[in-house]
Amino acid sequence: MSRFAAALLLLAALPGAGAAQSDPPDPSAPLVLRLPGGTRALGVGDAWTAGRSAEVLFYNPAQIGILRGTTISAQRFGDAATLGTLSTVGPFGKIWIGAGMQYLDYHAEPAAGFYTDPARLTSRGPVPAASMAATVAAAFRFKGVRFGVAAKYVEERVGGARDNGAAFDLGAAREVSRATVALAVQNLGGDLEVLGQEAELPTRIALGVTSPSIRVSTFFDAAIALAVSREQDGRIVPAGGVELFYEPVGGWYFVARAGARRVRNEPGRAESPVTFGGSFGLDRFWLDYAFQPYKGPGAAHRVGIRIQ
Amino acid sequence: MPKRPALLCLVLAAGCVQPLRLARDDSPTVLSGPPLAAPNPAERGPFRVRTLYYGSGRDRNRAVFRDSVTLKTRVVDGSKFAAAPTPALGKERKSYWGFGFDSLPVNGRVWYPEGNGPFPLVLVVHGNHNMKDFSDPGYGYLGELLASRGFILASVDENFLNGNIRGENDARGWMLLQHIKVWKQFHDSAGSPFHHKVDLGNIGLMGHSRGGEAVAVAGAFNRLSHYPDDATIKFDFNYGIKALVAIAPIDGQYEPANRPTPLENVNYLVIHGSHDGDVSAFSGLRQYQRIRFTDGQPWFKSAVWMYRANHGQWNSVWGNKDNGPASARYLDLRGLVPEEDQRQMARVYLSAFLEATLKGKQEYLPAFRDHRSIGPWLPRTMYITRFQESGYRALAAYGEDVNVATGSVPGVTIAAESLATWKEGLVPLRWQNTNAGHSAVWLGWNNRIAGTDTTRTGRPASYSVTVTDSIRSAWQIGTGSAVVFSLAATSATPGPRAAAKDTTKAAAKDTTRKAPAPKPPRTPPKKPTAADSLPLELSIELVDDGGTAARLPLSRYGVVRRPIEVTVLKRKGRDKTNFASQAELIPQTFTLPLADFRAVAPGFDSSRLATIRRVFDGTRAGTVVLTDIGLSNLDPAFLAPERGVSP
Repeated sequence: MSRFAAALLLLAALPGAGAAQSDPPDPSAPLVLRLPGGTRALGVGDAWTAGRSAEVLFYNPAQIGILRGTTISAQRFGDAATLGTLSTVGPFGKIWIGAGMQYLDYHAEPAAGFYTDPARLTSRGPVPAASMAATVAAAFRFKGVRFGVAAKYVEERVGGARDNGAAFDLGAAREVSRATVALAVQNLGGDLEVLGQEAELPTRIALGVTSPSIRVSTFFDAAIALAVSREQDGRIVPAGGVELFYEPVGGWYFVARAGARRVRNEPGRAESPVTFGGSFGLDRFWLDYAFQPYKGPGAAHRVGIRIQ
Repeated sequence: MPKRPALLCLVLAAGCVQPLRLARDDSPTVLSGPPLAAPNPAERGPFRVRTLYYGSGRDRNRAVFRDSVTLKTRVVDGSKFAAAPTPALGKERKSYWGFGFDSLPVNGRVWYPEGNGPFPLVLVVHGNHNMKDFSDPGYGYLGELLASRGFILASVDENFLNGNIRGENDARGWMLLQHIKVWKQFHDSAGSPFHHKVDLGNIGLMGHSRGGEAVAVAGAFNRLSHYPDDATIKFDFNYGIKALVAIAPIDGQYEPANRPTPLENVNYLVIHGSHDGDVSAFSGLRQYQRIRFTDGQPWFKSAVWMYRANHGQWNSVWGNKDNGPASARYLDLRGLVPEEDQRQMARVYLSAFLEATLKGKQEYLPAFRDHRSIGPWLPRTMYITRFQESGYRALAAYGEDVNVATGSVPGVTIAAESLATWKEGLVPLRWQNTNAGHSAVWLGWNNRIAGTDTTRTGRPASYSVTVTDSIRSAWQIGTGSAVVFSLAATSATPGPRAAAKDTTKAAAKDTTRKAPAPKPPRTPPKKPTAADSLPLELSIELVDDGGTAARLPLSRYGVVRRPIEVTVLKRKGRDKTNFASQAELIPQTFTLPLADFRAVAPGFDSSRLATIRRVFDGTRAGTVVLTDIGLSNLDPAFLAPERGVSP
C-alpha cells in the first residue's frame, strides 16, 4: 500500500509539470506518432512504455514479448479529427511478433510549418490532412531480458502534398521484483518533407515502469504505470497513471483509470495534462474508454476493444 | 460514470452470478438417531492444558520460535527433498526466511495435558498457503481440545515449504518424521518437561491439504529403510505411528519412485468438504483406496464427506477463502457452513478417531462405519461415509478383470436380471479426467413395462453375487459376519423395459400373417420429476444354500441419496465447464450384519450364505454405482448401537 500511496502522490504532482507557461512548437511529423497509441494507455496518461496490452506495440516493441492479443480503437478530437488504431501481437515460435496501424484524419491549419500540434486537433483547419504509420515488430528474450525492434512505414499528407518514410523503434524490458521496467527508443529515421518544409521524426527515448497487480482489498486491485521520456527537442515529459480494478465475479472486471502527463502548451490551447478512462472486461474481452479534456474547444474521447 | 451505464454494469454483474443452490438437507432425519453411549468427543476432557514452543530459537519472522522456545532443536538438511523452482526464487525465499532447504528448523507449537502421562503424541501439519501468512497456529482449537483429553498435540511449522514450490510433499512427510525424532529426544531427556511423558507407541499424524498427503508419505517412509528416490539416503524411523488423519488432502503431488504412495497396516481417516475451493475433488479417496490391511491386526479406514464444508475452515487462519483473499471473486462462499460448524465436525471426528486408535476407546468405532451413529454430535448437514476394516474380504471389487460375471475371488459369480445398465468402470472424481483409483459396477433399472399403461411393472430387477462353500469356510462366515458394500445413486434413469416376448405365439408361428404388426410407440425416457429427489430404495436379499431367503430394506442401514450437486464457483455455468461432474460420486458404505437377516427369517442359515442379491424393488427406476462388495467378520464394537432407523 505504501508504494501505491507514493505513486498516487507522484501522480497528483504530475499535472503541475504540465503547467508551464508556453512551449515552443514541436516541428516534428508525422503527427500520428505524437498521439497516444491506445485507449488503455491514454487513460493512464500515456505512460505505457512498460505497458501490458497489445497497444504497447506503439510504445515499446520489447513489451510484446510477453503478450498475445489484439486491440482496436477509435478516438475523436472534438468534431475535427479522428484517429484509428489496430494492433495485434502474439508468439510465433521462439519470438513474438506484432503488427499495427495508426491512421489520423484531420484538418490542418498550416502556419509556420505544415506540422500540427496535438493541441490543435480539436479545431478544424482549412486543409484536409492525414497521418499514418504501419508497424511491424518482433521481440525475443535473452537472459531474462526482452528485446524488441519495430519498423514503421510513416506518411503525412497535408492537402495535396505528402511525404513518407521509414522509422524504427528499439526496446528492452525485464521484470524487476515483479514490476516491469522498460526502455524504448522510438522513431529513429530520416526527416519528412511536406510543402517544401522539413520535419524531423518525433524521436524520443522513454523509460517506463509498471507495477504488478496490487491487491487493495478482496475485490479491488490496482496497478501503476509510470514513464519519463526525453523528446526530440530535449523536453522531459513525465507521465503516470493508476488503474483500479474491481472484480466482483471471477472474470468480470470494471476498471477506472486516471493519469497525467506533461503536455505542450500553446497560448489558449493545450491538451489537458489529466486523462481519465475506464474499462469493462469479461474474461479475454475488454471494452475500453478514455477521455482527455482540452483547454480550448472540444475534448477527446476514445473507445477501444481489446482481446487478450 | 453516468447512472445508466453504471446500473447496466451492476445488472450484468448480478446476472452472471448464479443463484445459491443447495440440496435438500435430510440431516433432521438422518442425524436424528440416538448418540453413541459415550461422551461427546468434542467436549473438553479433564486435563488442564499447557502450551509451549520448540524450535531453532533463531526464527527471523516468528517471535514465538525465536524468543519463546522452551526446547531448542537442531536444524535438519532437507535439500534432498525440496528445492526452489529457480535460483532466483531460492534466493528470494532464503532472504525472507534466513535459511535454505539445507537447514530447516524443527519448530512446533505444543498443547499438552498437565499430568504424568504417558500421553499419545499427535502431530498436525498444515498444507500449502501463503508462506508469510503462517498456517501452524490454525489448529489451536484442536490443540486445546485434544490436550484436555490427554493427548499431546504439536502443530508443526512447515511454512517454509509453502509458496511457490512443487513436488515437495516428500519433504513435508520427512519433516514430520524429523519432528517425531525430536519428540523421542524430549521423552528421553531428563531435563525435558516431557521426560517419560510421551507414549511413543501411540503416535498419530494429522495433515491438511498437502499436509494430508504428507501424513501418508510419512506413514510410508516410516517403514522404509531408504528414500525411494535416492537410496543413498538411509531411513531409520520405525516409529509407533498408529493413526493417520488427512484433512482435505491432495494425492499424487509426490509419488515415491513414480508410484502412488502405498500404505498398509495403519488406521486412516480422511475428511473432505463438498465445497472445497482448492482441492475440489475428494482426492483423498485415492489414498483411502490404496491402504491395505495385511498383518491381521485390527486396523480400519474411514472417509467422511461433509456437505457445504470447504477447504480452509478446518484451519482457523485459512478461513473461508480457499485460494487466498481474492478467491472470494470466483468462489461462491454463500453455501458454506459456518466456520465453527466445520471445526466442530473436525473436533468430533478427529477426537473420536484418536480416542479410538491411540487410546483404544472402542465406543467411538461405529462413528467411522456410519455417521448416523454420532448424528446428535455433528453439525446439521449431510455426510457420506466410506469404511473398511481389516476383517473385510472382497467378493467383488471390480478392478481385477473385465469379466462382469466374475468376482474378485475364484468361484464368485455375478448375475443380473432385468437390468437396463450393467457395466464396470473406474469411479470418476469431480475433476476432469481423474478417478478415485478403483472400479465399480453401474446398475440401471426400470421396472415399468413400456407401453401406454404406466402402472404396469415387471419383476424387480436384481443383481446377485454368489458365495461358494469354500469361501464360506475359509472366511469363517457365520452369524457374527456382515455383508459390506458401497453404493451411490447416479442421476441416470433408464427408460421402461420392453415387454417380455410371448413365447406361445412364437411356437404356433402364424404363417398367414403378411406383414409384421406395427410396433407400439416408443415411450421416451421419463423426465426427472420432483419425486426423483427422494432417496433410492432397494432391498438386500440373502439366500442360503438351502434356498431360504431373508430380505431387508437398505434404508435401514443408511440413506441412498440422489447425487448432490455442488456449485463451488460463483460465476454461472463455471462449475459445469470446470468439472467433469457437479456431483462427487462417493459410494456410501453399508454394513449389514447377517444376524439381522436371521432375525427377520429364522430359517435363514447365515453360515451357509450362498447369494447376496440387490433387489431393485423400492424405486421404480434408477441407476446405482456399486463397489467393494464383501464379507466381514468385523469387531462387534463397530456395529453398536443397532439403529434400524429408516430416514
